[in-house]
Amino acid sequence: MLRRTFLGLLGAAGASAALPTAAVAGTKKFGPHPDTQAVLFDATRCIGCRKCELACNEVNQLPAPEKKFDDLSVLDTKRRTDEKTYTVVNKYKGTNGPVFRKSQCNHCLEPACASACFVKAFKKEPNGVVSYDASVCVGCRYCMVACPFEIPAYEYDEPITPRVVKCTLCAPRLAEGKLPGCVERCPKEALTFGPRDEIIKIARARITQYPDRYVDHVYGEHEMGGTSWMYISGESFSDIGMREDLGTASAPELTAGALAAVPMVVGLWPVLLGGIWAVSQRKDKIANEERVMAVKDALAKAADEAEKTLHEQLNKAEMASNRRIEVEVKKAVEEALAPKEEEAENTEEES
Amino acid sequence: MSVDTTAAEQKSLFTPFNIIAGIILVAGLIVTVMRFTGGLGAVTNLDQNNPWGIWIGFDLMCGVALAAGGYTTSAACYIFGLKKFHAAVRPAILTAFLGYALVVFALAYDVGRPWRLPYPLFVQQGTTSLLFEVGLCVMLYLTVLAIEFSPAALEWLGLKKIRNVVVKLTLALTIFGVVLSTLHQSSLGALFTIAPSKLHPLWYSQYLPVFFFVSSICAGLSMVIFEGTLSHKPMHHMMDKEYLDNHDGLILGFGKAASIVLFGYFSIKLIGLAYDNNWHYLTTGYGAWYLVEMLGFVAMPSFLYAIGVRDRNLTVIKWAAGLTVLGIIVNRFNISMVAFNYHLDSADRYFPSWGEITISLFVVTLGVVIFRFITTRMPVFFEHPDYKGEH
Amino acid sequence: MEFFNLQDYYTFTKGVVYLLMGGILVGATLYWQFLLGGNKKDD
Repeated sequence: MLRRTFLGLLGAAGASAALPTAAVAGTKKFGPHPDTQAVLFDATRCIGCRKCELACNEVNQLPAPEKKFDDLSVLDTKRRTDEKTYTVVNKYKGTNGPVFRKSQCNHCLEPACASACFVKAFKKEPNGVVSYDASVCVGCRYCMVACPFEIPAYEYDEPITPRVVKCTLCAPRLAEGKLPGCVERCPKEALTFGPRDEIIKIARARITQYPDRYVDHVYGEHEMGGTSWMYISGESFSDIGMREDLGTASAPELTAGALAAVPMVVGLWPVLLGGIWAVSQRKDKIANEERVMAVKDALAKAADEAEKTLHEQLNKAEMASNRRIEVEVKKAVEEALAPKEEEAENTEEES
Repeated sequence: MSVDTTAAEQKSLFTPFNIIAGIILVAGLIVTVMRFTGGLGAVTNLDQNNPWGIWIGFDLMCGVALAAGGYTTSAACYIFGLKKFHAAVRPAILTAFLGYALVVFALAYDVGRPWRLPYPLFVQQGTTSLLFEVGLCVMLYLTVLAIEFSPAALEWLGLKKIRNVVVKLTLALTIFGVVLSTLHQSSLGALFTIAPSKLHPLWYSQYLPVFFFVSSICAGLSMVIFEGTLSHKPMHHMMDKEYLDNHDGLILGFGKAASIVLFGYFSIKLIGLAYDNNWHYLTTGYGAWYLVEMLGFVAMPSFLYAIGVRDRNLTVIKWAAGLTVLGIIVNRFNISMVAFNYHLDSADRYFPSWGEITISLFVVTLGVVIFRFITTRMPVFFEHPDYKGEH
Repeated sequence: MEFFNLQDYYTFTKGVVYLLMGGILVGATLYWQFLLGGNKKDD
């Protein structure tokens, strides 16, 4: 019964994952907040100048890297975000020369990091930012395990106050009505910032207008339940280092089944185990009673047999003594009769 | 109690075991200082791609799985009414208690700010997180184990009244313990359901929680046999008649149970394969390793157990137990470190550092040393004369 | 109350569920004692 419930819940989780629109629990639908902002990255416009990286470094007052931002040889190795680098641009081999892709937190609509965090350090804000609260973070790094885009980084070299680190979508600048640092600095307008549904419209419009230029897909529209940072590209997304096998199920949907089983165990295990205990107690009690009965029976049987044996012995003894008496009587009678017979014989001889 | 050691040997602290343990303990202390002055980076091989290493994969995951003997043994004795296992309950509970206490201790090394470990409970509850569930249940279960173990300590201290009150709680604690164990054993597996793109398909499944729970039963039963075997000689002088008389029956009984549960575990893993249609992965490199885990560390011990039980061959059962314990470690390692991040370049994969290995050894050694300290003093392998026969 | 994503929805509902779980465990214990109380004779 428990298994069916669990599987039923898994089924529900699976079914909800197949739905193309906003995240679903059972039949409930949760659309993104109307004020959700988004960024569009157009891979056909990016020239890999790394000015976005420089802007990010300045805005967030990050330490200067080993190689300066205008050193483009850095692009020859694949890089990922780390505790001092909230965004990186990587170079890929395109069909007509190198192409570039900027990588940073995608500010998902259903953030896996928020789902994973056991202390609610991550939050999807109404304006689309996925924020991180360092004041409660315990440093378990489960968010890093959970993020399908492999974005959060950790300050492993901080002994006392290590933090998880990632792109903040320049939340402080957004609050002042400014654009995110990277968006503002990009010289080729590869980055566009605006309300999410507008951004999707812009992306679709570009694809429709230049169908030979773009792959017909807005990456991030539905992946992992949808993101606030979306991508359009001339090359296939796998060719620019993006995973196309992530699916559209969000992290909350993926863990819903397991989470749903928990209260079922709490509600039913005590009943089940209590029942087993009661049955085993009853079995013990009956086994005990049967043992007592068996002992009683055995004693009674032994007593009966003893009595029977006694009775038999008594009978035997009586019969034996009776026979002895008979024998004695017979002897006595014989002895008594014997002289009389002799006398009779003697008188016969005299006459 | 055998007195065939000379007085000088009995007094000497420098047994081979003590020397090795001492070295590990000192090395552990040194690495501890390095960890808390230099940060995780100074001591571990963890990086931005591999946030979890053996402190999670071994200390937490294997530690919790292998401490499952506590709930399985006490359930067998008190819920299923199998009184012949009674003498095995206290050693199993002690092992579990030390196991979980050391898991929390090891976590203090792994998390960035260990003093904030109470935060998820008392400051802000991340209720959507399976780690929240694990943390809550582990904390509660540690408390349950402490209370379940306390009668042994109370008997040793002579606190009769409190001891008698606590003993009355046994059934409730046992049921509560099984509930909590089911939850956190399964949730440790469920942790990985959030990252299907990072765990190799042969190990990823929506059934992960069920797999972890069932295998924890196998782990618990096998650890009781394994530990019972390991401690038999060194702790023999502490074992009373009831314990020794029932030792062989315990091995046979638990061997029988382990055989069938391993069979069940194998079956549900097979179903998991079919459910996700993952057969084609079996012919890959990872597939070969998966088959080694399933056939060598699940099917084989199940069969060995069966043979041992049928022939009443305790040696075979003991080897099966060791193989199962190793298999649980292989499985937890596979899920947390081998099959996890399978998609990354080999240059980006994780391997433990000497610092991490030292701390893991340090934690295990602490456990063994404390276990020995307690069992040579408190009524764990024997019944306290004042409380004889009081089940 | 309006939820704009599954994450916030689940945070709320799971929170309620955890509280209920605590209550169920306490309640089950008390109910069990109630059930097994009473006259011990079974004939």
